[in-house]
This record gives sequence, C-alpha cells and structure tokens, in this order.
Amino acid sequence: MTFLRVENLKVYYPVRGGFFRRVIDHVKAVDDITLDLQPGETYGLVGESGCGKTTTGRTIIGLNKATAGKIIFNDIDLTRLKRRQFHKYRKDIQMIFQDPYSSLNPKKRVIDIIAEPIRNFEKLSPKEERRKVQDLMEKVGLSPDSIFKYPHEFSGGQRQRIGIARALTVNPKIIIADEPVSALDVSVQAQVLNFMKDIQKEYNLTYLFISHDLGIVRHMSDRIGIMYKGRLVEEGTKENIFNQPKHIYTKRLLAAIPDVNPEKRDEHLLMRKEVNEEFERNYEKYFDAEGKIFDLKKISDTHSVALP
Amino acid sequence: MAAPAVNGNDKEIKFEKSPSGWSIIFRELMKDKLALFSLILFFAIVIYVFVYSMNIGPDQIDRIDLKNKYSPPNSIHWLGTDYGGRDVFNQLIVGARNSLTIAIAITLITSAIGITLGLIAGYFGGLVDNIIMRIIDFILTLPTLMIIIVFVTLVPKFNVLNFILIMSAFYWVGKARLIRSKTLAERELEYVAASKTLGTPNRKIMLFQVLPNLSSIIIVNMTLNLAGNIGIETGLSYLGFGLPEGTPSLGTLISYSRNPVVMEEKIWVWLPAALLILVMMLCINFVGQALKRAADARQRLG
Repeated sequence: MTFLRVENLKVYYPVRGGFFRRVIDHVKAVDDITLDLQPGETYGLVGESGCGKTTTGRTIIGLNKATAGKIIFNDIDLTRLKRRQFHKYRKDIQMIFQDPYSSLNPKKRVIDIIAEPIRNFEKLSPKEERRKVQDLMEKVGLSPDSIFKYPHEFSGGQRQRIGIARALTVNPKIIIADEPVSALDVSVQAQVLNFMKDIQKEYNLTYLFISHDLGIVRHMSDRIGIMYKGRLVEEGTKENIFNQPKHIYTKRLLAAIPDVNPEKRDEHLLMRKEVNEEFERNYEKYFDAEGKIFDLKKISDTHSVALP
Repeated sequence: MAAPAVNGNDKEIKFEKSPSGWSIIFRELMKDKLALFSLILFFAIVIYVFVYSMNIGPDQIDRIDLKNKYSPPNSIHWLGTDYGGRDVFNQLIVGARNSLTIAIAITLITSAIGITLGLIAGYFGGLVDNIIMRIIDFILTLPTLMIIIVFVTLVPKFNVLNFILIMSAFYWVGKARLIRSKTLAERELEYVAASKTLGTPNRKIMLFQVLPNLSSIIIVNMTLNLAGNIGIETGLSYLGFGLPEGTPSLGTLISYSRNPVVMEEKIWVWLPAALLILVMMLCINFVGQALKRAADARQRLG
C-alpha cells in the first residue's frame, strides 16, 4: 500500500497568443515528476525559485489542477476525485503556508482562524471548540489567553505557529510545508523548525518540506529531491545528496552554500570554480539536445539521478 | 480531557477587542469634529423628517387654499405657501422623506446587487467573470439618464417604488466593478488558499473571509453613493422627470424656481429645500471623508 505517491505529475499552464488567443505554447511548471512519501518521514523538495516545487505542493493539496499524472493517497487517486469526494481527504493533507502575513485573515480572531477546520469537519460545541483551540495554542507555545486577538498583534514567528496550529487541528497525516520559514528571521527559523520536528514525533506526521535553503533541508529532511526546471534531477537520502552528489546541478547547488570558515575560503573558491568548469565542459552529458533533464535512473537502492 | 484543564478553561477570558473595524471608525469620527457634527446633524434631520412626516396626511399636503397663495412665512405656515396655497413646510418634510427613502433604497439595492455580482465575478474569475463583466459593460454603454427619462414619460402610474427600481437597474454596475476589482486582489492572498485547503466551501470563503476585508471600502462607497443618489433624484425631479407633483420631493420644490417670479420674489418656496439638500449632502460627504480616512491607515487622524 502506498502512503502518498506522486506519479508522472505534470502541471502545464497554457500560453495564449495571437489574434484568437489560441494556445500557442505551454509553461511546464511541473514536468513529469514521480516521488514517494513514506509515513513519518520528511521529504525535502529543493530547487531554485521558479523550478516548480511550490506548484508540486499546491497540486498535491488540490489548489492547482494537475494536467496529467496521479497523486495516489492510500491507494486512491486524488486527481480523479470530484470536489465532494475530495473533501474526505482534505483532513489528511494539510499545508503550512510560506507567508505568515497573508495566510492569516486580518479580519479574523485567532480562535476563528484555528477553529475554521474544526467547524468544517467536526461538530463541536462552542465550549469544546474553544478548549481545543486553547490546547492547540498551548501546544504551539502561544498563550491560550490570546485566542481573541487578531493576527496583526502577533510577531511573524508567532503567526507562523498559528498557521501550524491551524494545520494541526484536524490531525492530518501529511503536512505540506511550503517554505514555512523563509519569511522569518534566522533566530525564529530555528525555533519554528525545531518545533515542527517535535510535533512530527508527537503526531507521527509526514512532511513534504519545500525549501530553497539547503541548510534547512539538511536539518529537517530524511530524503531529498532536487528539482530543476520542473523535473527532478536527483533524489536520495540526505547522505546521498550531500556526500555523493552525482548530478551537476546538485553539485552546483551544494557549491553555492557559503562556507563560514574563512581559512577554507580559497579551497571553497577552488571547488566552486571546478564545479563551474565541469558544468560548462560536460553540459551535454547532463542535459539532452533541447536542454531538457533526463529521466531519473536508480544508481543504488536509495539514490536516483537524471543521467542518460 | 484532564479535570484541571477544564476548570482552567471555564473561567471567562476577557474579551479584548483590538482596534479594528468599528472602533477605528469611531476614533476617526471623534478626532474629526466636523464629521462628528455632520453625522449627528444628518441623523437628527433624518429622524425628524421620518417621525414628523408620519403625522402629515396626504390631505395636509394637497389641501389647496387659493386665498393664501404665495403667502410669506407666518405663524400658521412656517415657510409660507406655494402657488396653490399649500403649506411649504409640510411639503418640505414629506419631500425630504421621499428623497431620502429613494436615496437610501437605491443605495441598499444597488449595493446588494453590486456586492453579490462583484464578489462572484471577482472570486471565481474565468467564464463567470467574463459573462458578468460583459453584462456590466453593456449597461455602462447605455445612456442611463436618457433611458430613465424615457421610462418616466412612458409609465403612466409613476411612484416612489417605480423610481427606485428603474434607478437601481442602472446604478449597480459601478459598485459591482469596484467590488470585483477588490475581490480580484483579495483572492490572490494566501488566506483564501488556506481556507480552501481547510475544506471551507467557496460561498463561505466569499462571505466570511473575503467580504469582511472589503467592508471598509463598501461602507465608504455606500456613504458617498447616498449623497450622489440624493443628487440624482432631486436633479431628475427638478427637470420634471422625477416624481409627479402629488408626491413632493426636494427636487419638485426646487423646480418651482423655474418660474422667474417665484425665483426672484417668492424665495421661501424653493430656498429651504435647496438649503436642506446642501446641508445633507455636505454632512454625508464629511462623514464619508472621515470613513475614507479610517479605511486607509496612512490618512488616519486618530
């Protein structure tokens, strides 16, 4: 039984032009990616901005329509479900949004924000509902007394935790975290990330962790997929990716991580130059004639690379 | 659930409302004395007009008294009489009531239609948006005033209700466009996407998530529209395409001044109505300006 499997997912956006606004081309935001999520793990989806990682996440949760492919959750293909049928699975997949400022409705009090999924999925009396919201607030480290406040009275980190509390209310199985800390400053990032790890253990959650920050992904993830131009270029465990990167794009990404040790500065520079030279020399080896990325091939049990 | 937790949660939590919505408007009005005074004055006029007009029967307005025609203000006729010897003050009150009823009704009806269609068009976008917007574009291209005038001349029995309906049929489009444009901006925000992932149905998102965020714009727009609608009604009545003479309005009173003699020598017939319109319009606009500032944090005084 597969827990969550994304199979040959494609999300294309039509480009219209010409006199009759005909479809003349497609933007291939996500172009044929396949990935598997195991229960309880954290899968990091990494790539530069615009590579389609957010689109992948939003498609899994149903905010974008898949052009082709399957999203199989507990042996049911979510892309084929009608909206009403999908409602049943909404509870199990939840999302933490990137921007804690726009993802909370400024006109709603915290209790209304966190209780929104409760009101949709469970019938609770106002008293029970308030108690549950207060429990959740406590769980995410906020004062249970502040449930009648408005979002603008909280700091960015606190707002993100309200967002997390909202995602947790219906006890989901999978949480898609779409760059959950990129809008927060570094000191708060660590706080929120460690908190996310804690609740993962507590609720046995599975994360699809979308980020462009390799440091954070290394801290959070068990397995990592590297995306580039809407396709996966490399997939493997954390050790596979960081210790034995095979694809040139992965190497380039890793080389871009700044080294804080000034004594190794020259060494690091040399490494970056090397990677860049290899990229220019061996470009054809990694990309086909149209600059497209090859299909993934397994090179070990856990490690796959897009090589011809 | 553990017992202490229950006890802990049973104590009432103080309901602390942060400055938002009504309290911001209230603070803004308190800072802007002119707007506060305008608001009080406007409500005083409205209440006085509606309460007093209940005591005036149609016979009191229509009673013709040819011995007293064009009598200047005196103790019986506070504001004098018109060419039929009819009491101007009574006509002014009933006329103000009719004008206000029409303006308020038009504002409410156009807002209801405009907000509903604007929200639907902006929220769903695509084909729905296209259809609604093309209908709006079509109505916008029509010469509204001409059609209303033709309608007024064609309909044999013309009354307040007809007037409200024909005006509302044309004046909702502006509001729908405004609401649509704001909804378009609002639905791109993440909280709408969040609500979708939390399983909230679309109509609930529209009504309870998006609409509250448009409330300030709607309040401001409704206030300023109210003043505009009073103006449109009196304008049409002045031109003779508004209400018939049996139902007085502020416009019909002013239209007596089309007669040069009345204009120059019997100013008590039309001047009170003109002043009342001026005062009401100014009041509404001052309040509207204050609300507009309250809706925009950068312009706020308080």
